[in-house]
Amino acid sequence: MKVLVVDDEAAIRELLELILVTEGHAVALARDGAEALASVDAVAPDIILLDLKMPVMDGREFAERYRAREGKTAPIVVISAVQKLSEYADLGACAVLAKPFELQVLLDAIARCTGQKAEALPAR
Amino acid sequence: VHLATVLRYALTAALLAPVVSATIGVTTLVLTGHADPATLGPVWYTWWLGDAGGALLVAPVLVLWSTETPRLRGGGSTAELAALALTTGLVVWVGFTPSSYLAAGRYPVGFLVLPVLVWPVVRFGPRVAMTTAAALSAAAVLGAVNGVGPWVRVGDPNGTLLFLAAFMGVVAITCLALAASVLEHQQAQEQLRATEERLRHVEEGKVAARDEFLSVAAHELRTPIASLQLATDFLVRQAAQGTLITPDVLQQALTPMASQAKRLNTLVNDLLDTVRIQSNRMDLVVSMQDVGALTERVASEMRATSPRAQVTVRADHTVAPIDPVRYEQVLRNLLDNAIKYGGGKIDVDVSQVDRRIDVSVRDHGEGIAPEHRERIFERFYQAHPNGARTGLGLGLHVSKHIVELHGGEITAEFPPDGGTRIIVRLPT
Repeated sequence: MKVLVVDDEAAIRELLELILVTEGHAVALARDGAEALASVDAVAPDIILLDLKMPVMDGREFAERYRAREGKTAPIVVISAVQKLSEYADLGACAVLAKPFELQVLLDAIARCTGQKAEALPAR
Repeated sequence: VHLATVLRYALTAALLAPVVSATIGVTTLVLTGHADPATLGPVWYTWWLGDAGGALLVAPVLVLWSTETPRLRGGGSTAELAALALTTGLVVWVGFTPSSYLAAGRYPVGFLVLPVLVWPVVRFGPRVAMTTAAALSAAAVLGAVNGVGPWVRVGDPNGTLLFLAAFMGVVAITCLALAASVLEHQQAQEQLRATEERLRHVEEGKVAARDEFLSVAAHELRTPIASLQLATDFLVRQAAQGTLITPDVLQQALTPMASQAKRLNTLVNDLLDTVRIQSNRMDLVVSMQDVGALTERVASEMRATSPRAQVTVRADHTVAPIDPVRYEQVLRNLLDNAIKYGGGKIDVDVSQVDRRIDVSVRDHGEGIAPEHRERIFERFYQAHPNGARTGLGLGLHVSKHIVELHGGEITAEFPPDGGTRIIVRLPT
């Protein structure tokens, strides 16, 4: 599975890459919403792990633009340390994880969100 | 409008000043032969009364109607004004017109004017009050001319004049003093309300700033914790699965753990420093230090942690009495900002200038927008747009206090070719 990690924190990006690659996924990294938006079509991720507070383009703007563009849309898992995560309920994320989160919670969310998508496809 | 001012006016302008004018006037009349010295007393008195009456009754009415006077808040309606006029008319009729039994009989009903004097003062303000007072006085004078009203002394015109004058004076001074007092009270209340409003605003601002800080602090503290948790969870998971962790993977997991633990510690120290600054409990451990060498050490440390930054140092090796730990903290803050917001090239310069050392850190980044420049040393202040903010907004604030504790100063310059230059001046 291909995971796109969008986070301005280098430590988070690198750790998620290490972990997800170990788990057998392919990983692409982006430092902010703009970088992510520029790469989504080439990467064609199955799932996107998205931070909210980022320079240049934040998570909300990225999610809106990502959905507005043409082409396949991957589920989004929000990973953020912002105080009021409830304000992002309208983002349409498959899962919202408050930093810090346990690794198992993240792996479950990834499995659940991509599984949902796989089940949803034949129904169309 | 002050009560004291009104009383002072009544005493000096209205009562004493006419003494001068009446004396000069009457003396002139006598000297030029226009007045008989025998009638000097009554003439002087009449002159004085005319001037004083004018000053006490006519002048205030003219002034109040021709200038912007303070309005009485929550004053009476037009209907109430009509009722006041009607009542005043009634009092005038009863007390001062020949058709009234009481006035014609010159019964002592002068007290009737009291309600219609007080009513306009508390309900309509000085304008209407002084107008009513003037109307009552005019009615009393007209009544006396017709030989009716409470102030008429049959066969004693001078006595009548005296009572009339006393009546007018008391009415005018009472009315003016009362009006001033009412307005003063109202102004005090308004000031109190304004002060309360201001305090409420300040308090709301403080609460908002505290909430904002808490949310920023929570975000900043959670971010390194998130990395620590991911790394440890990963290692635990690998161990639980019985996977052999290669030294390479181990290093990839442990390196961010070390740096994030350090970062967490810095955040906590910065928070503690602001508390120390607020309660004046930050102490320095001062010794003679080579500022140039300290600067070079911090710069090479920063180069190691931020390989992208090109930090160049040009340093005089001057010795100065400083706290090396605190000095390094300041320099680390300045370099951290320069790396975060400046990007590539950073110039550090340590120069001895007369009896002080100037340490400047200059980046070539986007700089700071003019509207934010004044506030960059404020606690929690972050000059960069919301998404680009990192940290607690404490670095420059803490640095400024450390530099000032050393007896130095810290300033910011914004070179025309871009970027930011922060200059620390320390005494040697």
